[in-house]
Amino acid sequence: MDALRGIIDLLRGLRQQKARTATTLLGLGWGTFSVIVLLAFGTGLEEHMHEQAVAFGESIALVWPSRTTMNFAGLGCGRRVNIEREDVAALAAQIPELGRISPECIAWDQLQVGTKILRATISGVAPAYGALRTWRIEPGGRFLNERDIEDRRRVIVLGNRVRTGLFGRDPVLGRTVILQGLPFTVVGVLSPKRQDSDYSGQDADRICMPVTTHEQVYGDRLVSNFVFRARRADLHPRALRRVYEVLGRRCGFDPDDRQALYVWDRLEDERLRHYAFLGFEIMLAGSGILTMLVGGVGIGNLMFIRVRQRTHEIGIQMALGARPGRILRGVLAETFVLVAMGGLVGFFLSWSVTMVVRLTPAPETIGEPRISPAVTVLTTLLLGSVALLAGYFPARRAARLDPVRALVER
Amino acid sequence: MIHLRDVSKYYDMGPTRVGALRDVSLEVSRAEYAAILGPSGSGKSTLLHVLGCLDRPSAGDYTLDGLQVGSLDIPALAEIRNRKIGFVFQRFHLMPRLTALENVALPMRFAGVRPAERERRAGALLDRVGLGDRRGHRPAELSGGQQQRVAIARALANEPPVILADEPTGNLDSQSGNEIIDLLEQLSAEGRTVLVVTHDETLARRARRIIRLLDGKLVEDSTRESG
Repeated sequence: MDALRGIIDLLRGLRQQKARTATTLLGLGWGTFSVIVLLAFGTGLEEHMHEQAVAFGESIALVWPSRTTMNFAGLGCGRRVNIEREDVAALAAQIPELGRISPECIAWDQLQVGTKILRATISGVAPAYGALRTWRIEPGGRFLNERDIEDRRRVIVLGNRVRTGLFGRDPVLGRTVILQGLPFTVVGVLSPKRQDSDYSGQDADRICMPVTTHEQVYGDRLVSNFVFRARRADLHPRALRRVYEVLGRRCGFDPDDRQALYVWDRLEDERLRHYAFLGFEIMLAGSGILTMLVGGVGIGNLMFIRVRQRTHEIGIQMALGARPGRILRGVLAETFVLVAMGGLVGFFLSWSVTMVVRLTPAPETIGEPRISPAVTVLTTLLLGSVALLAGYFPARRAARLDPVRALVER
Repeated sequence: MIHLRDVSKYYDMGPTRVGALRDVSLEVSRAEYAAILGPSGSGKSTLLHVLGCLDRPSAGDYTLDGLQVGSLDIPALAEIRNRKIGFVFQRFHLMPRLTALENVALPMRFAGVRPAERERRAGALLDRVGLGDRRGHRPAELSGGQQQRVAIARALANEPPVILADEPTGNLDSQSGNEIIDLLEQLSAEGRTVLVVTHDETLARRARRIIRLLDGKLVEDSTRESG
């Protein structure tokens, strides 16, 4: 009840400073709006990009054989590095830091179903490839398994666009696709995904088959590339170093010859993206915080005026035994109310803007702006700090008033 | 109750120092009713401010109810004002946006009394000063005499042993003034120490003790026989 009366009293008092109060609250509201909206868009964009990155493969590295640039064991540089499936198996056996690894043999070929013919990327891979490259399979189906590899089964998993191209909307599991004149059974279909990068085409246009079957069909001796993920992110650099050592020994290149392999290090990309976003968010939040601080200065001025208006009343309170701490807290409480009002305006505006943006096609490209709990907590803490800073000095002045002088003030 | 020994109060006005009180020594017992008289600028209000712990003496000792006031910090002085002193001012000094009841309850709020208890006690005090039916009125809706009675009720909120009144009838007509004087006398009769700064001869005549100041010095301290 006392608090409500205090707020009403504050609002009545501020009526004498309508223009100043309105512009100050608007300034603070705008600062809050800037911080929230910018961070909400930043969060949305980062999540969007992260989702796409995960769809391609989280914390993985892709390795292609390249050419040597250093002499090694009497061999000259400029030699082509050749990696066989057994080399990839040796990596799995000899590098304890490795979590998952899969070779990949790639061919481009025609697929046929009845009269329909489609060209696609044909990847021969190990079962680990599904988890490494985030191949989520539509319900009812599956990715490749160890038995498929061992038995060199003629089974395939279709990218979702390949599936639509060959079968339209018809059921597809268990159906036969002709490849190189041989029948292959469809065991799974990729769930649609949005990936931020690709190599040899998007996964939607790719089909996967057991690497052993691929070898049999296309006569591969060498792998096109391999994909791996360390057991833990912190083991990744060591795992990568060991890859050079093991392959260098087996394939005949100097482990220090970084050019012998072409490595697409997604973990490094993720780290860079994280720091880029952090910098981006700090910059966005910084500009919002500056606006908020300007609003805070306005609030501080308003509170100085308010203390001046209420000097006589503060004098009465002191004469009646109000301690300085109580006077200080009273002014601070009023400041918090004012800041909360400005903050609420900003929260409401930013919430409205994110809601409106969600109704547009924009989230397809920039992600869905999201006022995350972290953004809410951060903004609330910022507003609290602004209130504390803006209110402290007027409150201190009020608490230090000389009661005798304050009583005669009119 | 009140012991002043060689109390002085100086104000620095630029390079010069002005003495508002000079070596005032005074003893006031419990339940005394004294009038402090003197022309304008004689130091009456300064003395009242010092006695009321609104101001600290520049020199000398002041003991109130056994407490050395000069050595207390600001929060402790506020505590004394709240618990041991009730103020009645010439201009009433009521909080304009609070009702009579809330004004009376204000010192209790500062003393940490719970809201229900505050309301009960403030209501009883308003009944006592004859304003039980005005508890919801704001100061602007009350006459000067009524406002001063609210101020007296407020001064009694925490049942302080000392009442300090600064020209309590100065802004009132003679009838309202007499009512206030009657109230102050009652308080003294109940055992409270009442010190009144006044120009009002009627009020001064009814006090049992006259303390007179001139140029910051105590020039008369006389007690009249009761009756």
